[in-house]
Amino acid sequence: MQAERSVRRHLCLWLPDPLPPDEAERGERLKAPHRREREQKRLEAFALWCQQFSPCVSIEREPGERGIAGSTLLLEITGLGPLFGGEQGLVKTLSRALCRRHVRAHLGLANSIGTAWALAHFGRYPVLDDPPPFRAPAIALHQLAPGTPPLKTLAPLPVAALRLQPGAIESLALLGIHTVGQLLALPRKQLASRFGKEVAQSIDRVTGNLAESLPILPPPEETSAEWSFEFPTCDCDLVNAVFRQLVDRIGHTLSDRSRIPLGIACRLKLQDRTEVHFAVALYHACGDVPHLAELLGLRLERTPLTAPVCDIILTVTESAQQEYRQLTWFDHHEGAHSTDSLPTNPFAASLERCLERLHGRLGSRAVAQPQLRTDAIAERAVRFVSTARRSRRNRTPAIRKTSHSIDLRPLWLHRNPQRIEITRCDRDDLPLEFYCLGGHHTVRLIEGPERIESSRHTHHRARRVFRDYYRVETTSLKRFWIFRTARDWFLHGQFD
Amino acid sequence: MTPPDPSLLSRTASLAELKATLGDLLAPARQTAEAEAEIGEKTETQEKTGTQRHAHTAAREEEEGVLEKIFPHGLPAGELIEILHRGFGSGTLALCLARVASRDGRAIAVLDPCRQFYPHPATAIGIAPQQLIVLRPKRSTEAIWALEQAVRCRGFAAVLWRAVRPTLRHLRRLQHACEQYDTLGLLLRAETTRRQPTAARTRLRVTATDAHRPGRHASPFFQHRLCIERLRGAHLAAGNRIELEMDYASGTFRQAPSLPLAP
Repeated sequence: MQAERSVRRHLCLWLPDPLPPDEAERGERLKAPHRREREQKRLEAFALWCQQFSPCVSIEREPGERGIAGSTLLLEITGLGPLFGGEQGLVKTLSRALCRRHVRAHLGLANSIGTAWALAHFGRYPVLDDPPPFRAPAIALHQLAPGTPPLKTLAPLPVAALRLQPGAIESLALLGIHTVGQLLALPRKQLASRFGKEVAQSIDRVTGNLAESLPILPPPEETSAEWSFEFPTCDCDLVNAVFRQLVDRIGHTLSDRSRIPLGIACRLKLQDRTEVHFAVALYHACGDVPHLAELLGLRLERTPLTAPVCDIILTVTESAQQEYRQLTWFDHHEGAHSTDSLPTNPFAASLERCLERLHGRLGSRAVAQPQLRTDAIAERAVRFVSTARRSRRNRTPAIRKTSHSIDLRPLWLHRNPQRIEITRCDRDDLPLEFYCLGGHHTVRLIEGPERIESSRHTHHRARRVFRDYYRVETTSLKRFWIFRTARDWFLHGQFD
Repeated sequence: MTPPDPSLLSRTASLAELKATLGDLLAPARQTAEAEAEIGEKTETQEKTGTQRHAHTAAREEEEGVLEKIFPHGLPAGELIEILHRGFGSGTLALCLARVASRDGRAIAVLDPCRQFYPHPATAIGIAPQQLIVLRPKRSTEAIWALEQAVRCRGFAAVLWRAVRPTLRHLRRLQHACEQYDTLGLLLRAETTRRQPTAARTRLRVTATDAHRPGRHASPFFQHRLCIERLRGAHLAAGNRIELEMDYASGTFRQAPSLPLAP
């Protein structure tokens, strides 16, 4: 057990192809040195993106280095497995994320950096009997279990898998040594004297006997701006003015890195030594300072403050890359129809701004879009999803198109059905007169029953439903949707 | 991990190359009967779609005809319409008007502080769920603010609300905002409030009538009549009163045919 805890696990990512360019870079024709520089920047950005899987990410090889195509990254994932549901879970999550980014990669997972590197680059050779846990056309995984001896597994691989310099590989080839197994068959003492220290050290790196260090990329700097008042203040106008200045400052800082704020967290230090935290988020990275400051102001209006404000600290929680798009004259008129023949909103940008303001003031739950579900039980057949969450997940609406339902449903549905008092019944025990919503109602027309029952597989007894619904029209020309359970009658909705 | 057979790989690659060159010519010949059946199915589907489209266009034209009678200058998209209701049906009528106003793809806001709005009837009359934005403020002051924000946004074609009691001053502001931002405001109020002052340019009284027309639908609940009466506004050219027939099965409305006179 003690030995297992001390095992280090390394994940090597070999990216054989150049990383796909951003939208802004597509179509650009650059000269070779500029292209190389751009590729390096892209690799750095990609390595920073990989920090969501491991805090220790390093660039092992720049694009095209050492005569091998593509570039290589190394991630130390020791002890990170439980965060992703095990090591395989981490690999699966990473593979899916790579597929989403359209990145082709070979993954090597082993105890030492050298073995992981060898597996990622030369794992296509038949050295592994176990099938990989995740199959994707763009991802190839080669792994070695913690207890497996690495040299025995790597024996059939070419000597280049030991990360030797091209000169050493050539001299070995002249002697007819092409695989790791052939090299290991030579006496260890002679290796250093015949081929130099490098060969013996590379074997030790694979076995883990020689420690290896790689420069780890530092995480991106936190962008924040701070303001301290000379005297604590309760003046909202003053605080809003400070918001504008701070957001402006943040915008300038981020624009140097070609980024735009997408989410801002605000921390207010109050005079009574307490702190108030809140955050605002945007649908789109707009870089509009007054709008962001307005959102912060709206959010502040909803936040009760127990004491005057001493300090304001704004921190960027999320930022996005600036996008450069050519302006089009006919953006929303021709061919701007979505798939389900619903025309695109010509004022979508205005609508998003409005929704952001509404979110800021009312809260995210108070601004929602209905999502229809295939459930017979009325209250479970619709789910109100916050518009912010939906637009973050997917820009295209996730609701499937519903056909015209023949089942009549009320326009206003009570969240909790209200018990009604039946004052007169007919022979079939159906109501003729009842009392609800503060008034007596006489039934003029009644239609039903429409039986709605929950699935027999519902485990929660409290969630089980067995109702007989009736549509009722009263003499006062009101229409209700009522239902009967085993004991009582309830009002569930009103047609309007 | 066993490497694939090189001969198999080369055969697959050459087949793919051949397919890319020849395209559809490489597809195997099919039975004539199968091809005929497929063509027949396609034709039938096209005919069915065409019939549905024709019915849809006809219903839309009929609705536009009725709307012309109610609003001879066209649906007042930039106006606050107050609907005083007695009985059922006014909410559905308001949704129908919102649907007509939002044909250009703009959204519809429903202010629902009581959290009772149920979107199924709206989708049944042809409003796409992604067009609906439901606002659920907790306090009345927030409700008024949200209402004004929604009306002042050009992204909303219509804003529908009930159970919020704005003051005359608020109503006047809303009426101005509707005019300025080209938004249709639909305020649902009980008929008992008709004595109260209003700033809405158009005020309609919508009353459900008990005249059911038998035969069209088996259930009387799928269809009903509404009597629309003008109380204020320059619309409703065909007299001060018009009767509509709402059809829930098709999600449309039409002018109610007058009943034959007794001999």
